[in-house]
Amino acid sequence: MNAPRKGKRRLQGIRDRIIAYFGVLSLLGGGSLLLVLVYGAPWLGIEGIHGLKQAEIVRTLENAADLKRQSILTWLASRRSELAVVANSSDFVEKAAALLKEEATRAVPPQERARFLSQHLLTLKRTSPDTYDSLALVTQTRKIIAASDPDQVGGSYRYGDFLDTAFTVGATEQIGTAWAEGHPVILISRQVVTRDRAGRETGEVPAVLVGVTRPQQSLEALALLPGIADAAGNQMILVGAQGELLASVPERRPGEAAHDPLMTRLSQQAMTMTESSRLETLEDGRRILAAYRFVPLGAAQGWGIAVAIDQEKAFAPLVSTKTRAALFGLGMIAIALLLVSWGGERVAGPIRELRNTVLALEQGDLSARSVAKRGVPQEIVDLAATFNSMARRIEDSHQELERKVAERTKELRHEKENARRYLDLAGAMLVLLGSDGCIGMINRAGAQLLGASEGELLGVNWFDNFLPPDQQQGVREVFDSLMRGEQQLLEFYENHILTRDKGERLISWHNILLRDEEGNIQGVLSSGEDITLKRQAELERGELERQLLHTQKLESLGVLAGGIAHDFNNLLMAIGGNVELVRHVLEQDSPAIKYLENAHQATKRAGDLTRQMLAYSGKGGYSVKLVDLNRLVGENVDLMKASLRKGATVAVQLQQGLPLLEADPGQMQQVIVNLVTNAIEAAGEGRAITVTTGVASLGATQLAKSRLEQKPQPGTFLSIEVADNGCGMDRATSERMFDPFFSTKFTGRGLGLSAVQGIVRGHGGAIFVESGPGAGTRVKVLFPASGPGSAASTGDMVQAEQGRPVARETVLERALAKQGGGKEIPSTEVAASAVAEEPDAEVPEMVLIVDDEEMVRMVCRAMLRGLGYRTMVASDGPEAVALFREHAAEIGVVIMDLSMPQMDGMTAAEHLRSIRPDVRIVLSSGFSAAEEARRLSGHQGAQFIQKPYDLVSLKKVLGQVDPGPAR
Amino acid sequence: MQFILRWHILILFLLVLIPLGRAHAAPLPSGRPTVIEVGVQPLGYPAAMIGTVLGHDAILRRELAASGYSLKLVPFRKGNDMVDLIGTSLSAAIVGDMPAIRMAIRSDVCMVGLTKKTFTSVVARNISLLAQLKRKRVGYPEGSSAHHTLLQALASVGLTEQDVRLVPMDIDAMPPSIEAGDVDAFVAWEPAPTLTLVKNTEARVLFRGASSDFFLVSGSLVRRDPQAALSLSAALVRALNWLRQSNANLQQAALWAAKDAESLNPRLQKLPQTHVIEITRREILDVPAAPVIVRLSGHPPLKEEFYFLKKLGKIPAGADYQRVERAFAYDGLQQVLKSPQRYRLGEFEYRP
Repeated sequence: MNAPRKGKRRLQGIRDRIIAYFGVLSLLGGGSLLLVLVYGAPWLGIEGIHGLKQAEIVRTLENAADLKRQSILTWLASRRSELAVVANSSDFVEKAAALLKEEATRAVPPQERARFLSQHLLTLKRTSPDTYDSLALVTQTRKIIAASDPDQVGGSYRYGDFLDTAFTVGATEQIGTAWAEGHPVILISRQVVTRDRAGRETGEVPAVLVGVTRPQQSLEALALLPGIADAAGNQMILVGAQGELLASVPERRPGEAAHDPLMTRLSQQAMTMTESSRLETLEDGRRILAAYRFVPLGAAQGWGIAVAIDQEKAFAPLVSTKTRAALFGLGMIAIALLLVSWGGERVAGPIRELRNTVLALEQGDLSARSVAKRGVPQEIVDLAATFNSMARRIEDSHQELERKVAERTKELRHEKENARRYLDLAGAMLVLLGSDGCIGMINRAGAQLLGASEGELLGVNWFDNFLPPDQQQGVREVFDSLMRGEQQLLEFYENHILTRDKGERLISWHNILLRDEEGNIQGVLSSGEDITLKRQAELERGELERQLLHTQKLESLGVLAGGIAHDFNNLLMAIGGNVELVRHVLEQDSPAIKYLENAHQATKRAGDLTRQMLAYSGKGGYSVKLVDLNRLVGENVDLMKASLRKGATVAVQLQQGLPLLEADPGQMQQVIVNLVTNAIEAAGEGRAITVTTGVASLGATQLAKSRLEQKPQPGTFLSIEVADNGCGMDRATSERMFDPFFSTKFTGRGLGLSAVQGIVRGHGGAIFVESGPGAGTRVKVLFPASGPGSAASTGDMVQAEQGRPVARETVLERALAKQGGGKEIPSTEVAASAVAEEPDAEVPEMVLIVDDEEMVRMVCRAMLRGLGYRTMVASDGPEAVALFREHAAEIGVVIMDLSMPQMDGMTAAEHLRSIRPDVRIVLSSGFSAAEEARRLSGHQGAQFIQKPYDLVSLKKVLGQVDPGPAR
Repeated sequence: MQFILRWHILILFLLVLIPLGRAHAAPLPSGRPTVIEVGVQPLGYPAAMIGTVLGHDAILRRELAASGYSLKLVPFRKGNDMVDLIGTSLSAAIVGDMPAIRMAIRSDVCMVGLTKKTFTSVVARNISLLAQLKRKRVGYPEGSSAHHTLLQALASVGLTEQDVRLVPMDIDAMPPSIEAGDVDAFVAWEPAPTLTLVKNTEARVLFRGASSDFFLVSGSLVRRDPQAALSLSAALVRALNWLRQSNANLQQAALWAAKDAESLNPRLQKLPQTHVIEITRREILDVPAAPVIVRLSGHPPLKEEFYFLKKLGKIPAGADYQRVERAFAYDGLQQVLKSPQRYRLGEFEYRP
């Protein structure tokens, strides 16, 4: 609470307010009372002084007018009575009648009778002094026969119009007015009616008695009401039936009255034959109160009386009274205000002291207490005591509160520090952006990520400093619209930010809007996580998964291709064997020999195909030897030149001094042939093909570009590069060029490059491809160099057997591992390395043929019989073991298929050797398992023959096993 | 032929026997007196005084009886009630100026003489000026001279009927109404104003407008039996002469009038006899030349009132004022006054 300013405090103090309220109420009450007293409140039934005064004035006016009317009527009644007395006097009537009769009969007027009558009239005039101007007895012919003024007798009466009315039958009396010598006069007539001797009226009216009088005399002769007609500005008038001014008090001349608005108004209203009282406004603006009265003088005539008083003057005493009353009221109010001021001070003083104590308390002086002085009202004393008690409690409470506040402040500081620590401990960036886009808060992790200190970042504009330039404007617009509430907040989103020392980082944000208590948006609090590495790892993991998927697909395809090749080889075995058997049966000049030869060539080509498939699957023949790559390339390219299109050229660039390559020569030949064939077909006519060999050392980065999933270890590699300047490949074609059965050529089978890939993979090499639409294609295959040495130095190809395994672990491998090894007998070229026992020259040796394929068994048996062997057949391993157990002594050689249901060939061979360890076994398979057979035959006396085999191959392998069978 | 002649004689005989009705008060051939009904207003002064004196005039009754008539005074509350009856059942009436105009327009009447020259007053309580009548309740008898006076009063201060709340009521109901506060003012003729002023000191007369009562006879009576009409005219003069003769006569007449009024309205407030006498003197006896109506040039009688009734629609829009003038042209009163002995104007024979 702030202490109010001194000036205002003075105005707003209790005493001042009491005085102000009382003053206003007094003024309002006094004013209202005065107004009600003066003007009344009709709706409350209160008649004010003004109304009462007005009523009093009106009543006074009416009384004056009534009195005046009554006085005029009385005055007229007196005149009428006087005239009636004279006119009804029998003596007067007789004399008048006699006079008129004598006048009618005599030429000389009867003077005595006329004097007698005139004397009566004069007597009447004298009896009422200052009343009559004249009295006359007039005949219907207007002749004056008697008059108060003797000079008028015999003359013609001047008021002829009035006489006409006065002689109206039955109109005994008549009152009228006339104008004489510039003054109005009143005419009063009384008919003189003749009577008979009995005193009864005859109805005859010989003359009328007319009295002439002055209205002014009649009006002034009567007492006037003091203060009404005699006051200045007031007026009383008497007007005739035509509105003519008969009399006025104060007296006005008729000409003068015509120009006076007051006289004009009074005259107009007085002649209306009505009576009323009214407040009127004159033409000159004066306001008058007037009372009007009517003096009836007959059936259709009368006079009007008007009494008027000036309103301002009439109310002057009231105005004076009102002024004095108002001044008295104001004086009383002033005295009352002084008393109220004194009383207010008595009440407000202790309260002010109490207020001062409260102010001291408010300003921090908790020891402030109020002291109730003597004479202070009990309520204030109680209030002071209560206040002191409250102040003590406040002081205690304040001290307790301060202690609690200190404790709480300490706790809050600690909690704040903890919160800061939590924020700093958070691995994520926490940043608060105000509505202006500047950083309002940032934790340690955020500062570290941005590469600055926390203090340095506060107030820095986020968008201008930490967003990539190409994103600044767009993100800022979204943020601004978000601050305006025009856009929904993206609770989660990712974007790149610029750090000062870590470059561009990808941040995953979690945002919440900050609002004030009214719900207005104040900013955004964001938690950001640097997911740059995580996203990179996810991409790499995705790539690995894709590669693994592709590998699994290729492996599945390899398994499929291997299975198909195996079955095909069995079939080709049956076909080729039977063809060969037929050819041996036929004569050499038989025309069927040519057809059989065709069939035999087809069988061989089919065998090549299955070999490609086996090469892709990694199950092809794998006879590792030291190969002179330059020689191999040169020989094969020369052979293929015949296949070049018209105008196309092939150039061979062989790097001299290449080391020998440990590889399967057949598969190397497959690689060269397939690559060159593809180049020839891609180049078309008139294009150039270049075949290059070389050697180079490659690192991991370079090898990472290999198209094979498995990257070789860095080292020295021999290379064959086939390039053409043909149409090239687009990216999609390049991506799928190694997929099996994918071909862009109409005649292609799609296995050439697949086989190349399988062969290179099998040799632990790498493949690089460079191609583009219209830019030609360059395919480079790498094979790891085996070691130092050069074919150039020897000049000849050195073939050497290599004993290291290269194939995956198979059934055959497991069998060889148990039996100790064997010798490889290629299907096309049999190497005589094993110890062979001479067969019995007389008794053909018994050969047990074990194969699950019946056709293979039948062909093999026929071929063996053709070679002179006795044969026994078994369709699976258990049957073979059973037969061998029964005929162990007879059976010299066992041709055992490796892949059989129930019991494979190697297991069956183990059983056979367990029965008779020296039994000779030739393993046979549609797979290319030469290495395994080589190891088996080399150590355990077993041989291997690759399906499909012909008589020569069979004879060779049996010759190695049993060189002396009977033919 | 004889048979047809007899039938004609029979029909003619029957037609002669059929009475012609009472529309025209003519003596019956049978000798039974025809009744001359005179409409009077026992509730108004001085009409009640004149009416009752006429009823007690033995000379009049004898004269009418000699002509084969009998006299019957029929009391009415107000003159408008007699308008439709004059010329049919009523042969004469004492009415105010408004009913007199309506009778003159509606049928053939002859004005005999003045029976009252008075004021119709606007009386109010606690109001001193006419202008203060605005939005006040004012009792009034519609279409009467009092109604005319009210409009005069309002117009004199710039007000109209729309500025006040008009409450139609009978004259005798006005004093108790203003006493009970049912109305703030009323407009009426005597004795209602005097009754109110006597009883209530807060009551004041705000406005007075001149009005008159007339004694009239139906034109058909004048034409058919002028002597009977003159007898009625002479009775009017005789009555006024008798009342002017002495205060005792006035007191006697006041007693008769009070009795008549009580018969018509037993709950009527009774006006003191002195006031009745004073009213009678002021409003008829002391009026110069009364009951003679002195014609003054430029002052056609009741012309202003005629147009007032026309404006109200109480008389047809096409009504002609000349019918009123013709009614006032009747000289029966002059004939009577010229022959006072013949019509026994100075002889008085009033019987209870």
